[in-house]
Amino acid sequence: MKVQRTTKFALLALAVLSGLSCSQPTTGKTILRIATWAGAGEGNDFDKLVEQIYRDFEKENPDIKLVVENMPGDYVPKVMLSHIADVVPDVTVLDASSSALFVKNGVLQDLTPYIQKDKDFKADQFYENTLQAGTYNGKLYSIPVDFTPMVIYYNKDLFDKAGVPYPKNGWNFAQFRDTCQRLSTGGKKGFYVSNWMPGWVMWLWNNNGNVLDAKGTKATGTLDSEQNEQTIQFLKELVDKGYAPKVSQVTASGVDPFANGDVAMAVSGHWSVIGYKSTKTIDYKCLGIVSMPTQLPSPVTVYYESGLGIGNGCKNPEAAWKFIKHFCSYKNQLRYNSSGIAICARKDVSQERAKEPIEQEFIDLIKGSRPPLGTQVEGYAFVEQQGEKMMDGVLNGRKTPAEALKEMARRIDREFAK
Amino acid sequence: MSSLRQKENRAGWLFVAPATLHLLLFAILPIGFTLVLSLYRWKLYRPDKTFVGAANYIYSATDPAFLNSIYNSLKYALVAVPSGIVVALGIAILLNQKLRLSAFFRTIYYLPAISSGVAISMVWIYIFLPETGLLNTLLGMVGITSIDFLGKSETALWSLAFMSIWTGLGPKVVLFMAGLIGVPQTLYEAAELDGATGWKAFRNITLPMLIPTTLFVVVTSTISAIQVFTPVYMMTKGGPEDSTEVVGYHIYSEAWTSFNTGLASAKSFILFVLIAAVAYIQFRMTKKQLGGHTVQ
Repeated sequence: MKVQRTTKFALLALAVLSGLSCSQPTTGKTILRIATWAGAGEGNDFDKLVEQIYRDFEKENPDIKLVVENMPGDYVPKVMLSHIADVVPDVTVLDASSSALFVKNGVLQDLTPYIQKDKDFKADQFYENTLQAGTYNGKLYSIPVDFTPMVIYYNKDLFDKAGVPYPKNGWNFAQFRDTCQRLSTGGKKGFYVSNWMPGWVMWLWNNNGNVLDAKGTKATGTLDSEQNEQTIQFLKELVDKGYAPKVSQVTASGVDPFANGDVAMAVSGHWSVIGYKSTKTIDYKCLGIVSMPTQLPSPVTVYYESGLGIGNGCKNPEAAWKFIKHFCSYKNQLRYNSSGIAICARKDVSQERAKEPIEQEFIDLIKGSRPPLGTQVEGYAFVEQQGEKMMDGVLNGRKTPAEALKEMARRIDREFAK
Repeated sequence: MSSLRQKENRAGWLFVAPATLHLLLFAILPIGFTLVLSLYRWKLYRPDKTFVGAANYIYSATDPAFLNSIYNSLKYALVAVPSGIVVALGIAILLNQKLRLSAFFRTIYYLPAISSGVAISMVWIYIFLPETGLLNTLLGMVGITSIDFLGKSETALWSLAFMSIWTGLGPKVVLFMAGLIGVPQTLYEAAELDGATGWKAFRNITLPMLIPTTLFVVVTSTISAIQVFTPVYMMTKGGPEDSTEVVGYHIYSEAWTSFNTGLASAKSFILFVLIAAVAYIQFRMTKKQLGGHTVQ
């Protein structure tokens, strides 16, 4: 207990010192601290849009001043530190990939009482899956803002040039490989295999594999399964057979090979739309999306989501709730999602946006999407770190998929046992 | 004690007070606190802590990932330190000549020392890029095919060590230049009379006279090489696989990815002891080399 008190005192002292260094005259207003993982604003259209939503809130609530605390890089540890020092920001953006850590450790408040008291707020306005990401033990800890299922983007122009028909939802691994092979012509490649685990974990799911056991506590016996070996081998062979560029070739170009028009298909989320719209190397009108190839009766994918929660210890929870409602309102979400960053978690907004190209295709894929394992497993950041290393070993040809998966499973189990 | 002596004592204490306070607050206390934490099993964000005695140390001693990170750090130091010293000494000798623009070159070589480690790392990512990077373009000119310096487990650590030669150049060059200036000219004059010039003079006069400086540079460079963190964090995140997971980065991940505060503290303390041991051995060697005199 003494150690904890000392730690708390040290962290509190640091927080106070940092607070003093940037203190502002409060002029009697309620200060509402908003934590986000955004970096310093670049003054682009998206930044201006978010800023406008904040300023509108202040105009509508002249007694409240918003103080935005951007925490780029290592967002999770920074919020956890603020939690230990009892200075969690009033409103905290929650990433579904790390929500278990926040929710299970009391960083955020249960929002159920606020929803029950507020007749204007309708939880059924939101997609069921997105509410699931912020729910733990029947309590809702974050209001979903936006989300995206991971999908396969394809470049219709490259398909047309290679004379390959466009892919259809529900295609299988063999059809995918065949498509990659046929697209790998004229200096172009079919697909791009990345070592980034959030971008490949759903390949395992689509071959009836998984990362952890049902309880989310053990990897050995699940991660090193035969199905997973086959899946990783399948991805490796795409590179070995020349249907996908080597990681070093992608590094060499320094750009996204899909956005550059060098590969015909890539896995990504909705956020890539912003880049694809602005790049001159691909025609946005030639962009299509399709489900992940699957060996199951219907495809599954992961969705990544962000939501807003109220920090535990928030002194003005009513003001925080008011802000969350303001941010998640129809009007503001329509503005926010016009940037193309993701799909709005509100059904009415996303339906409105479905008039835009490819938006409806995204909405069609919501049904088969699952929350990331980080919504249930506290130490999932470690798992993803090991996933990247495992894939490095395989793609660099230093380890077989079987060896690499066994090693990864052993490390995860060792970590979970600490 | 005379009142003058007392006054002087007080003044002396006042002069050292800020530095002592700084040392106490930001070095001694955190080190002591780390030692205490290392005896607990504790996830940073959980209130419950269990006193486990030496268990974290025993676990660390058998943790393959931690042992691998120490091995990587030592490999890195073994390459980065000697190569950095040889290059710095060569440049110091060149700058020590009475050349035009020598002040300009001194500034140029010191620039990395005052630049942001993050910015430097970003620049070197582009220098190391396969095919289109500066280094591969130069190698391509002499017919060497592209190397994925940071993307291959076989080359990533050596690439970081190579980069450290440049980033760590400034302070080493300054120290060597100071050492070179301190070599009495009379020794060279006497040697010249005996017919020893050029390489002979360098081997028999310059090098022996630079031993104290060299040993000091070895000690400080070794310590900073074992503590290397920024380029790993910025450029490789310990990968590919575990090839660049040095001990500093490993401890950082233990503390801020896994939040195992007790274990990370134990590992930090082991690193502290390791560095202290290396420094002690090097200082002992220094004393021996100088016949009992310490390095100034």
